[in-house]
Amino acid sequence: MTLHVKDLEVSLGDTSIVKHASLSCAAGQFAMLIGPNGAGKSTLLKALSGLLPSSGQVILKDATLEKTQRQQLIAYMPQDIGPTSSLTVLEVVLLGRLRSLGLSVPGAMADAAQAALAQFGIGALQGRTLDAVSGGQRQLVYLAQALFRQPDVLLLDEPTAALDLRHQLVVLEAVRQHCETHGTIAIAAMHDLTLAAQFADQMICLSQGRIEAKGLPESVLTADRLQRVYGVEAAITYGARGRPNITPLRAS
Amino acid sequence: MSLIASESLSYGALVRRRSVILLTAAAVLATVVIIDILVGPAFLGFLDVLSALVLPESQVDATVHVIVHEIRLPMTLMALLVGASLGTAGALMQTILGNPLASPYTLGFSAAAGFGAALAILTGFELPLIPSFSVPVAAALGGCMAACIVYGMARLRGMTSEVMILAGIATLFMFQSLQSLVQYMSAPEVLQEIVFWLFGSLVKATYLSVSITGGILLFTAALILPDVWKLTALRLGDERAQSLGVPVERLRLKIFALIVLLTAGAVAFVGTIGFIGLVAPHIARMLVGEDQRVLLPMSAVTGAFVMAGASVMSKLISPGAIVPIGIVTAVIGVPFLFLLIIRGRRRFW
Repeated sequence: MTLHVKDLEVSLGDTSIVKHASLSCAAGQFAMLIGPNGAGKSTLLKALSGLLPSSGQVILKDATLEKTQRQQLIAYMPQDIGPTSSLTVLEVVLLGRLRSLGLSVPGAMADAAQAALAQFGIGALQGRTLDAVSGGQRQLVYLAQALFRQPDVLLLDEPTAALDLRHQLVVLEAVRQHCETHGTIAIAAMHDLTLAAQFADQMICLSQGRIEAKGLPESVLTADRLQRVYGVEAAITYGARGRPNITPLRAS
Repeated sequence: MSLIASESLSYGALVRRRSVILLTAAAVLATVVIIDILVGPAFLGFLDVLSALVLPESQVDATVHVIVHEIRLPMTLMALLVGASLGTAGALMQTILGNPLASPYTLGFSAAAGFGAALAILTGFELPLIPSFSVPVAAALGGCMAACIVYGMARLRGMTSEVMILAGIATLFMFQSLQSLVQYMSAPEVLQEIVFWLFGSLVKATYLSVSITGGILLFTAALILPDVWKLTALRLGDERAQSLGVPVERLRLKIFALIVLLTAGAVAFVGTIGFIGLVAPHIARMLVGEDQRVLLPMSAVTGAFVMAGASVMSKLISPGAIVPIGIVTAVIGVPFLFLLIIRGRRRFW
């Protein structure tokens, strides 16, 4: 299974937000989408998932996906934590398999939802209502929902934004493991470049709606590109597995 | 401990607890319904009413039979169905618009129905074959007109909850003004009739009107059933629901149409009942949470309970007379809601 995106364009009114975006991801690959604020990362993810109208092609398993097919096969997790609700945490996770839910919920499905929560260490919260958990915990709940859904492609918009250091690692590790185990393709929009580089099989850099570069993190994250795309002078060192560590020095 | 959920509770236990709450509420409702049939301005004895209910007509005093079967029973059944319809409509409205203040009343449907009824009374409008249905039909048309205005506005600016609520509130004010204009133009005896209709009353309930309101309630329930999980997903916000595969705009439109039908079926025969659609869903939500599989029936039961309780009160306030029920519904419902707010330790929206 490979995801091919060909010449994707998204316009809001007269403004072109994403321009001629083309990319490919193989089964099990965890790709990181980076770029400054307003580069079009969220718009690209929403368009891929069928939430925004777009032109171009999204091809999965050699078939071009229409909007409704994208909504079925591609799961998208927005960056905001959504409205307050008195749904319980477990009910929120169950909604991940909306299409399979009937008037009664089989015990096995409830157990699987419970297991999805447990992988993020929040199994004990299952009976709490959503408005009684913190913003970070809510983000973990939505991640558990996205993984519970078992989609072919998982799109995550800043999945670690509200999380502490430990949970940032827990979440990205869980997504990577899920991809390896189930062959799921994951694309996450990220702002923390060092963290993104640590987990990325592929890095896609977006600038002003265009894909500026894609490839391994060490080839995408160069001082010159960071200067050009982010307007930041940065020091780059290389850690384990040759992955780049970015230290921003000053904004130019 | 919260009624809705607790950290340590397993999902199975939570479902069982909610079922118990729903069944208990239904049992309480059944008790109130029995009291409602027993109470009335004719001061019939308990055994008289009971025998009229269970024995054949030939073995019961004719007057008692007529009072129980032709007056009290239709009124009680109508109270149940109108309460259930408005409770369900309110819960649906609050869910699809993501707003705790949304209800058929606050979005102008009831005001428009009131305007339709007032206009029919003022002009002496009569339907050719079914003249007794003239005012109910005019009221239902008024409600539908309000819905069309709100829907039209929403179509122009996208079916978002913000646009629908704003359009609804504007519609409420417009139809309230038109209602006032009709009243201002009416002769005193016509005005009295209009005001009585606007108060809301069960006294004109018949088995035919009961059948129509009940039929609409069953019909809408059957259409809502396949979408209960999609409605639950809407509580996570439009974007999340959409990403889970919910056709948000289409679902909102379908449910909106069903709300119009439920509201029209309820207020057309009994007049403006404003309070239940707003508050019954809140009471239900505090008791069973937001899983629509339980919330919707619980809202129906809660609405029916408030309406039946108000019906009992309306007969007790002034012995020998029946106060219009629309005046009493808030008096019954508000203390109960306040009690839940004060005793609850958590947010409920």
